[in-house]
Amino acid sequence: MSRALNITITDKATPLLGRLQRGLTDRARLNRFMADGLAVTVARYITGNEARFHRTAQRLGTANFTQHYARAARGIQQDAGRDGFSITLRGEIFQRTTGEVFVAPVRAKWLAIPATAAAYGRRPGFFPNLVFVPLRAGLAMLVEKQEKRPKSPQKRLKGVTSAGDRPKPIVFYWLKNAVTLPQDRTLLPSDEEFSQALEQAAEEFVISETRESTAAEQQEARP
Amino acid sequence: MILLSTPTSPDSALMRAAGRRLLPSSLGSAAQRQAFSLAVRGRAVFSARTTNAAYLQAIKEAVERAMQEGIGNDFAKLKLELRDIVRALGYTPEHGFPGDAALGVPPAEPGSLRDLSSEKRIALILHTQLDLFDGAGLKTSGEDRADRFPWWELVRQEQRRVPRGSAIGSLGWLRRWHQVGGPGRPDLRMIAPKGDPIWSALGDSSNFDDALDTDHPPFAFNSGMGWLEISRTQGISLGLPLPSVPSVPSVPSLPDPKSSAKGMDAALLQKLRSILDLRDTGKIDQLQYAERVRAA
Repeated sequence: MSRALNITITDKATPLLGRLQRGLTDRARLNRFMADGLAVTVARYITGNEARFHRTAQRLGTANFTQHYARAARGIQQDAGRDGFSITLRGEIFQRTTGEVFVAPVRAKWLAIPATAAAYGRRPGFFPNLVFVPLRAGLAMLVEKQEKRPKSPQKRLKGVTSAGDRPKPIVFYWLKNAVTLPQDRTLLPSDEEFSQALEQAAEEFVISETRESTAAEQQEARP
Repeated sequence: MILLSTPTSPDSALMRAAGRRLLPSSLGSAAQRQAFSLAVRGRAVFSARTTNAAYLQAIKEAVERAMQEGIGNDFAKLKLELRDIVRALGYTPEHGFPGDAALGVPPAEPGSLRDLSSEKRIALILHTQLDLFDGAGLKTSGEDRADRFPWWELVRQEQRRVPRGSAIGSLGWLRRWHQVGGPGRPDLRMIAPKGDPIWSALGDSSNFDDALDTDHPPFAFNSGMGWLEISRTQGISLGLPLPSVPSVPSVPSLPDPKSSAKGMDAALLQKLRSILDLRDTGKIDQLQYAERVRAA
């Protein structure tokens, strides 16, 4: 005896699958999730590591950091389309993540590298009393001009001159023809952190699609 | 494809900067807030007790250059240039700009924050302007994705030698947060939904003297505070209740400029008009520095 089995196919389960399939074919929305997720992750990473990044300031013992990194964290821009996504970071310093960076002076002869806390975040022109001292080819320094200390009365009488009469110059800036900054991959999250961020973005994408699919079904079911 | 690169075109913040007007004022900051509407202040480059339109124009240009970044637009150089300009315009901390005495501008202690030529003051102006633009830009982009990242977290983004709250009588950010009704958390993180009234309360000068009357970072002068976004998944894992009404991308953070010069000195207003007219017709870019000084 044969039995007829009637199967009625409804579209209650498949709308979500259909929606996901469409979302993976035209990936503009998924890519937007990825770009936003990555931008937020990078911003959080830079903010959390800002103090560590300012190695020069730390070395010189100043707490007045320049704002490069904080501004970079605030100004991340992202772009997404069907073919992919990108995030754009403000600040050329981040080129160091992909390799060493050669820096040479433009419209100037020297690069001024701060050597004291006072010089950090300031240009040499800020200080009126700096003296140029050449050291060797490609290297010089700017030191604070200092008056000779007056000799003690005894030394003046004896006509004695010693090294102690000349105060030790304070180096404000090292001047170099060019510098090469080494690669620093730690300025951005690790590959693993990037992967985690992207995975989380994909997860959020699926959750969002599910939510919207459910909302659409509920809307349709309403009398 | 993931592309990490440096920007190749001016960002939206720069475009907002270019749209800013300048408005001189001989009033102090507190008086300024009362004298001018928020709408005007939102789009104007202000500097308390700065009566010189040419100097304000120079500040505006410096802010634009700082946003563009690149060679010659670094903070250290811009600070130096502004110092030289303010001096060239005849400013001294003791007497102000030429003619300031008649406007009742009091003398300033050299090197202090009230001294317009001091490094401290120039840095404060540049940082505040840039932070405001950054904050407005972040608010706009963050609201666009409020469905996926529903919360802001207030965090320290710039280190301070003496952060607010560490000196006697100073009100720290966590105390401010609680004072304006920010939700408390055992981990002391300051998190609230995007569009929550707490953000405008934090930047409200009627709550805090140093506030900038904005609903986005920096909230107050030299705060060093900023926002980070929290995703739905992260928020749920932190036990945050989902906001019932998603925040709607609303009013632009920097409203359109409105002209209001009520109560301004007539001669000063005339100078300002001439500068603005020149700028609007694009001629200001052709002016030599000496001509700008003469115009002021």
